[in-house]
Amino acid sequence: DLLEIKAAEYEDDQEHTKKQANIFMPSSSPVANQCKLPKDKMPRILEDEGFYVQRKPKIYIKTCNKMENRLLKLEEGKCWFEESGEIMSLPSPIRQSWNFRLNIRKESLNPALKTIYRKKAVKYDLESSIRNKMEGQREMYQLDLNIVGLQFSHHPLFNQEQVLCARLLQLYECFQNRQQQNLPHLLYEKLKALTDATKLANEHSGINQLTRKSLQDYYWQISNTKQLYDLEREKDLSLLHSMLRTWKQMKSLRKRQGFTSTPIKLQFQREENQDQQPKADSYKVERSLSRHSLLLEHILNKQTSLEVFHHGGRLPSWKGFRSLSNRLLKRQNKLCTENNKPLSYGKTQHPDQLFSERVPDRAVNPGVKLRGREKSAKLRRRKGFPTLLDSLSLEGHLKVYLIFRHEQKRRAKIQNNDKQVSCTSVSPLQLDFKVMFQQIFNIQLIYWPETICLEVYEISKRTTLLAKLYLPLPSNAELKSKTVLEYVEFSCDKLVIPAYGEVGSNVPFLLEGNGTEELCLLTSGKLSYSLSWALDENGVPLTPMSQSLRSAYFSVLRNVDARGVPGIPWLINTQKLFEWANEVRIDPNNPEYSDLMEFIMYMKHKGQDIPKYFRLEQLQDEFNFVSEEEMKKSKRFQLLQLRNAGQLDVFLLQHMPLYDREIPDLVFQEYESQIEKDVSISDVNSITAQRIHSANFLKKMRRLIMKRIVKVSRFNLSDIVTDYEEIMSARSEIYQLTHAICKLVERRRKLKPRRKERKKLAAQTVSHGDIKILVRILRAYNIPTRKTTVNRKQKAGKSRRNIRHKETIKSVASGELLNESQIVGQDTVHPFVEVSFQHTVYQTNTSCGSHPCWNEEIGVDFVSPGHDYSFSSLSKIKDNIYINIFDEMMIENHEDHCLKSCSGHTYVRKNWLGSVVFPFSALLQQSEINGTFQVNIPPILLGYTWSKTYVSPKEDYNGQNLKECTFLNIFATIEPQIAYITSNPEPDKISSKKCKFSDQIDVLQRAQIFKKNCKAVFPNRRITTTVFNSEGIQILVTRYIKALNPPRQLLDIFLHDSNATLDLIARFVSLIPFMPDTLDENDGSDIWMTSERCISLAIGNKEEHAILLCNFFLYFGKKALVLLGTSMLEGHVAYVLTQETDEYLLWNPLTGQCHKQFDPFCPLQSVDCLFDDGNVWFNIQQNNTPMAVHFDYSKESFWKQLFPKNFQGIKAQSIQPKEIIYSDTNKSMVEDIKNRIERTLKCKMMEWRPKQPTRWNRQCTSILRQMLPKLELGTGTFVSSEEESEFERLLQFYWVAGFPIQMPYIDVQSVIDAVYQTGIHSSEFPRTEFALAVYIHPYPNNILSVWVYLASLARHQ
Amino acid sequence: MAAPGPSVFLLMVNGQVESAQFPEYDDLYCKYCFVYGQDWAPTAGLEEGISQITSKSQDVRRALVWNFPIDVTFKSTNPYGWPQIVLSVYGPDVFGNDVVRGYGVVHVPFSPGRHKRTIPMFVPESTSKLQKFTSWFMGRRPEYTDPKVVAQGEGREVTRVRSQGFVTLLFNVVTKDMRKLGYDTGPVDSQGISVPTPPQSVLW
Repeated sequence: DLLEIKAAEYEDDQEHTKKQANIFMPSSSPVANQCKLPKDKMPRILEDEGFYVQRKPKIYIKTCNKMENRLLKLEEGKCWFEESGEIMSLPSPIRQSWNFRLNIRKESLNPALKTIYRKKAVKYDLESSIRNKMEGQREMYQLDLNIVGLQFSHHPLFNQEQVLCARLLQLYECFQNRQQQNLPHLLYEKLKALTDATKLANEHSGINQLTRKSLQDYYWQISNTKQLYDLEREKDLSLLHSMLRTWKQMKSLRKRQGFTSTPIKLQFQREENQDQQPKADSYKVERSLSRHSLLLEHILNKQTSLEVFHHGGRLPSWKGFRSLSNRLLKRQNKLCTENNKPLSYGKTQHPDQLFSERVPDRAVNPGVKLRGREKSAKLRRRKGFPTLLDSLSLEGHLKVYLIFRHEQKRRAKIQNNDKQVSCTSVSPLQLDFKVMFQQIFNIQLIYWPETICLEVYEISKRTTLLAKLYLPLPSNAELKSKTVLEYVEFSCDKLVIPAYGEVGSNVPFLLEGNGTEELCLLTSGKLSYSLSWALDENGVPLTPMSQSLRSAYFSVLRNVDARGVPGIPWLINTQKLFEWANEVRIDPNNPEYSDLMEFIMYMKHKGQDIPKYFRLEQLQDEFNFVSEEEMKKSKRFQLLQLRNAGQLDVFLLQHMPLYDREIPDLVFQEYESQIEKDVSISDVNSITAQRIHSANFLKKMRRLIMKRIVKVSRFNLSDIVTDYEEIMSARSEIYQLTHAICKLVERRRKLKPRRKERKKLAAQTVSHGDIKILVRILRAYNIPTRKTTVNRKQKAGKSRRNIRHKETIKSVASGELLNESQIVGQDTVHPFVEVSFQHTVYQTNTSCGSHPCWNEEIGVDFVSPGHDYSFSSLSKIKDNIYINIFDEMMIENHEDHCLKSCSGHTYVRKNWLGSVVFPFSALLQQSEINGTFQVNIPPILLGYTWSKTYVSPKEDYNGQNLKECTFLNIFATIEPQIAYITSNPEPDKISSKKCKFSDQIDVLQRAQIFKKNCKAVFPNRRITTTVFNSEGIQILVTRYIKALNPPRQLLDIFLHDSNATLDLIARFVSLIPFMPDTLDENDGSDIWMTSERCISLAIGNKEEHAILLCNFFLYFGKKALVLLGTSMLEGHVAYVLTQETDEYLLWNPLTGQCHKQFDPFCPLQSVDCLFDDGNVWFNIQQNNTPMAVHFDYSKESFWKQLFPKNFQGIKAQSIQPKEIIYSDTNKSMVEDIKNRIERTLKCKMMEWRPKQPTRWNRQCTSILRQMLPKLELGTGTFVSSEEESEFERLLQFYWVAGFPIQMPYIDVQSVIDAVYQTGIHSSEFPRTEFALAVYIHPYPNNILSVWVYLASLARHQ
Repeated sequence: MAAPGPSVFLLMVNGQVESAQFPEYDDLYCKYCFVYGQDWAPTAGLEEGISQITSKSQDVRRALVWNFPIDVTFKSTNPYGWPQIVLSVYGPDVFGNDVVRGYGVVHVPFSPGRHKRTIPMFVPESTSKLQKFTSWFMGRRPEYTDPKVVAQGEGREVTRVRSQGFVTLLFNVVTKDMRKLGYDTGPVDSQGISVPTPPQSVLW
């Protein structure tokens, strides 16, 4: 039966149509009134008759008509219509009813549905326990609880009279309260004062505007107060009314039932009102007041005159009951000692407190009268009681349990025990529904009690819990001596069905007096108790709070207050106190502060385990699947979290393993090591350690600061919806339209191909394998050629040998061959280009000559780590694209013993000539790189010389001698084009507000606005006005600029040649390792360190380099500015602009190169923004290539400036230090590094050549070693004569190709990579020998220049 | 543990793109593809498909029926990123250009069994009247760069869409090892049928 066979679901078409036919479709035409109403009846429209009809919700007529039609189809449909002929409807869909309280359902609630109330977050009782520890000696505290009694304000056994009585009492209480407050009187006084003031003002009226105004104000106030006064009076009056009414009801009830069961009595006192006539004040206000009071009097008089006070006449009629009740009464008397308490309330009625100054004589009487009444009231009650005989026997006993809760902190599990501490004896209910307990409980405490709970039980046939009462803890000051009774009210919604004429509880009943009123009362009452701290034998209060500590509290407050610190509630906000104390750095030994210190110590001590949060979600732990610790332990969860945070770059799993056991610990280790690399630097040399450390430091800082910056990345419509960009603006739209229309009439064949814009692809839609980097290598200029001298020798030797071999065969040809080889040898170079990216190498064909033309396109495969092609991850790629030029050299190897028949092998070796490097990010940013670039060629190329035929890559350029430069023309792009999403970073405002050193906010705001405006005009140009410093504080860029001293040593080298010094300084700056920053971080919210930091950490980004260089130039008194722009090869760059007498120089701080403004090969492509120590300028010239730009930034039509000329407050203090103190580099460490590099490189070389032996030529190595140190400062000749001669000797036997590489020292790996890029190891020639020399030139502060000289030697044959 | 528990759970989906209701358009075809989270991988079957062109039926219902089968199996370790099927319907406009007629998406049902789903479809709109006219005239309705956009919430706020038509899908879903790995997706009664032992012992 696992398989269930069923026919396929099929719906017949015919049935379908049939079904359709069955459906009733009401027409939407209006219905005539005759149809809707009973016959011969006209619609009656109530509104027309003058009745108020509430507006009904609006219904569309069509809908309404449809409904009406539908209803008419029904048999009884007509009952839905009103007299007016409309459908019955309610003005509001919300039914207003009161269905609370009455729980008619007899069956109990499903226990699963019952609400269980849990306790709220527990505030541990640490204070008390700590206090115990602090004081030690006294650990017991005592609370005295005196439960005096219980009075029911309603009880199921109440009869109707008692209900009324309770109500009357309540009203009276309310009245008394009001009397005490006496608001009308106060208002009256105010009124009086106001009228007086008005009068006074009136007398001096017309003096000036001011008084008139104040007079108006008075009038306004008078009328206001009057209203209030009237209102209050009204309230008083209504209260009186209701009291009177209740009393009347009661009286009539008593009369009807023929006995009284309550001793209550209301007495109204008539008052003399002759004196109440107001004085003859002519003021209107007063008059209206007095009229009011008269009115009141009138009403009262009427009422009081209706009163009949004497019930005495009814007394005799109850005599018959007396004998019956005697027995019971006696017992009752015994029980209730308190019974005699007078409960009758006599009342002196002052309807108008206004005029109570003169209380008439008769008003004093009631006191006397009352006493007289008391007795009779008591009597009456007793007499009336017997009718309640049956019910009295049912009256139960009340029992109060005292339940005392406290927290058991010491236990592992925190739980609340409800401990029953003690219970009172069972006390019987007394006649007037009072219970007297009069018991005192001494509660001894160890821990701070959380709650004190009293439970009231009723024992009749069975014990039922009436109510739980929670008592508040007394304050520490409440001692036993001054106990005052306190009252707690309680109520209980238990359903008690009345049986013997009583009223019951939670059951509606009709009050007989005025039959309409239906009441439903709950059992309720008051418990009187007193709770206080006890005193011990010596009279010392047993409160938990010691006196000394309290005094400490107060003195702290006093002291703190005296110092005028904001935020007084220290006891609440201790955190602030700590902060303040830290800030002020108070002296802990100063006796003045001793109590403050004590307090701080205490709070710190205490704060150790107080949770700092207030838990709002009390039910949180109910919804937790597992405990927090378990969650934290779960490796899978950790991994998921890391992945969600996007920090799992290292370990990208396609699938999240299901079990913890499948997750290797390695993942986390790797992640952690990514965060902190400085774990494994024990065996590394100190300089390397410093490098690693500073790189990590920067990363950490960056991350921390980035955390504080909120980023909002947004998609544009064009990222989501295609076709949009083509019709972006109205202009192009119209163009498109006309174009489309023209297309219809156009001829089919187009002669002129038009360039089509490439489609942009949103980065998030790209998937694996879609992206390629296209690099087109066009041509190169001035590639060095092999040295002819050597060549000639070799060729000569070779040819000689050839001749020798071939003499017999063809002597004539050999001569030709020689000639030919000589001619060719003039210009022999066979260059080809290798493009390498992400460890994949692509190669072009080999061309010939020093001006080769390849015109080849290379499609470089591109893989994003983790196959994540979102823009943010793409921009994180820091790989470089290397374009290396090699010379392919064929070497024929003839075995000596071999005859001519075996022609020997041809070996290919490639000699590195130079390279062009650009980062992938530059490509991503600019979408294409196109142009002729200068090839980075080592200063010496052994075996090569500059070509004699010079071809300038740009015809129109005839500037400086460029013969010793090689150029390469390339074009590179990403296919398909990836849309560049800009993120809008929004720095949080707090960071700028909090800091002390920051600029004024208005300056920052001005900078932001300036930036926004600039971006609006030229969205593609860069502008940076504010950056974050290493503390995450936003500051102006101008504050980074300040003249700073370069290292002394550098200044001393070229004492007289200032230009050489400048070059040296630039070189020094370029040797500081450079940290690439990712693109998305770069946008607007950069973090810059100070130059000192940059030097001491020996790391910096582009801008920091530029700032440092600029600061050094300023030291020489040069006019220098930092320039922000973009470069073709490097993307966003920062240059330094210096103003010479007649020209502007552009310095690239990363290479140390200096370009003239009109240098066509300056890689700088756009000049966007300039800044110095005083101002920021934004380029608003149409053309922003360096050649076209006017650098005269004083012209406002070309350069938009941030601050106007005489703007105040911009000369903020620079954040740079006064001067940089340089430290010397440890020479031995440098030596150590040098040896390490050399050793590692040698090992690597052998490793890279697994098939051939690697021989090292010692002689050559030693020559190279000698040459290297001269290269660092080498401006003139590189090689001295003796070395030259030594080389000459070497060249006799070998064909030498080699070059030095220079780079700043970052780490060993980067050196190895650079060497690997040159491919020098790849020579397959059998007896190649290698030479390698390393030299490190130390600059101050561990800034090193690494030179690696590599040569490969091939022995001549 | 000699025989460790399963390391993945499997979700087999078969069914079909049954029919569509596009009152205004005719001669439509549809494409479907699945969008799923990082922890998911298809193990068998086709993730993407493109259907034949269908014309409206001549009867009253005017239904466009494709009956285009879907059959794919996924494995996963994590229910997060549960597969969604993304449908995009294309058809010719008056000039005969293929333009998009609707995008829609629905999660593959969680519980095993037979499920019928009707997905409302929508298309992105041009932002102005002029653009609307241009795009109509050029025969290029605005469309999503990637239909998978409709399965994501990111970046949707920049678009505006109009609803048109419905597509009815039928899924038959079979899961394996879900319950063993602690994910309870099936209805309560199916549990009793498939497993003879009391459910408590089944869970772990």
